[in-house]
Amino acid sequence: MGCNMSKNEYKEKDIVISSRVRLARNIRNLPFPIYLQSDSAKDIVEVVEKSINDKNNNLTPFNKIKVEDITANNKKMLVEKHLTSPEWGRNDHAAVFIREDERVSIMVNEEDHIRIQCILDGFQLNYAYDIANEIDDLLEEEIRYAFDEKYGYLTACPSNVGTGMRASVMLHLPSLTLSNQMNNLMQTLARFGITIRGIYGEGTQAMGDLYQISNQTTLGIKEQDIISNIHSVAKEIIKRERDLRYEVLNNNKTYLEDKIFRALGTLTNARTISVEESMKLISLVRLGTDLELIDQDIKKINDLMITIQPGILLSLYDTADLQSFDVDKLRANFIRKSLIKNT
Amino acid sequence: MLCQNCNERAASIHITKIMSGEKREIHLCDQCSALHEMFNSSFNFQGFIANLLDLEENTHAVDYSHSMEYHCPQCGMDYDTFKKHGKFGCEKCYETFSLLINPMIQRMHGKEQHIGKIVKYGGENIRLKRELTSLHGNLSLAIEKEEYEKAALLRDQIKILKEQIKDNIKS
Repeated sequence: MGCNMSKNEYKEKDIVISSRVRLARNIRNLPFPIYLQSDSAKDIVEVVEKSINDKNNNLTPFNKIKVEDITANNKKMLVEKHLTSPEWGRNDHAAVFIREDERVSIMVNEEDHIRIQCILDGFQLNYAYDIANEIDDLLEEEIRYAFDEKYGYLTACPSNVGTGMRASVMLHLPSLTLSNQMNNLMQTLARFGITIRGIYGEGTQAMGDLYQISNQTTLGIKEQDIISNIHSVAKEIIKRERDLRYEVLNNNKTYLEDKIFRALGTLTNARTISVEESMKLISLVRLGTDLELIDQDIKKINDLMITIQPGILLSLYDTADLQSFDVDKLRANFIRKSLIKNT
Repeated sequence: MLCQNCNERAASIHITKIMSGEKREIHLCDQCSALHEMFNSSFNFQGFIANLLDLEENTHAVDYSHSMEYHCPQCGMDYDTFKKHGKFGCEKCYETFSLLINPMIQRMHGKEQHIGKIVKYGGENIRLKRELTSLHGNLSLAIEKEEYEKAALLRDQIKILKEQIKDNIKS
């Protein structure tokens, strides 16, 4: 079932950028990270490392990164890639294990002792859960989790208690955004215990028209039901976005084409560009690609939306003196090189 | 009617909230409602937890004053610190502050019983108890449908399961 399901899910990749599942876990008889002694914190990093590096488990190799060892810019890069969180970077004893393909990360000593996370391209929540769940089982061979009959997995914040699970999908919703339907949607979803928020940038102003839909409640619901709730809500939103895309295309093609080609024109010619402007324009180019108005590779555009974030962009340039770099100029160059080959 | 927050001034603002399908009425005076709005306007999680706890402290007839002085025996966390940060210090805090936080958790999730994954080690009895609940459900169904042979079978299974749970607790 798993295999067929993930194939079907992957079909929605015109709108679904990625799927993510996160499990929060804590170790029995140890204070949560904010109250944890540094010796115990180091022990946890070690025990996690031991579990995932066990030769018998057949896992793809993981790389270890400790907060104390990395630069401020690399911290930023990891957050932009969704491999860690800003809070992770604030704890001196935190570490993260990142699978070589950057699809799986295990944060240690963030808000909870352990946070297992899996991000996959497209609509593949079930598969993402299977992977996270497998690592959860594996860690349990070495670790005894803090667990309660009534409250399930015990977490530092009571908003994660129960399954400790957050499932989310990242959606590209340019048409719903353009037609001012997002606020309405947010209010509707709140009633179903589901949150929708912008991915990059604060508040309702979502950069690049990218939104994350995730479950709000974690207690009194089964993992599979969390996934199917997100699944059905996402399907409904996808349908609305798609209908709207074709409605605009049919009724207002010239207006839409003009907007998309101007965006492409700016991106392929700009010599300096901010992250805000790029995200706005790439969003239009992505829409144009999906509607087959322009010929670009959708996967490449997805990658571009992530790569032009300031931390990731700078991390591509191997230099100690980042201050002297003109990030907006680098970004413009990078975008021109990525897009020009296809036009 | 007195304001639920200060219990001094007359309530002039009446708010009906529906959270997780549960309807709740809050009655506040002008001053307290301004405060309430300030907390609710910009959504921040710590504030959210503090608000929920305030609500519990003010609306319940139970006397919380005693348990508010508790310190967690394992990590030393006190109630005020938890309320301020919205985060616990250790797993034991859930037990220490249970009286205060149970209603808050129930309100936050709309549920109060975990039904998801169970730990592999040390979760054996929880698993058996869940099985027991489901067998009880099947038994009632069988009796209702007058399938007495099936019911007898289920009754035997329940008996075995109960003994197994007892044995597990002993060992």
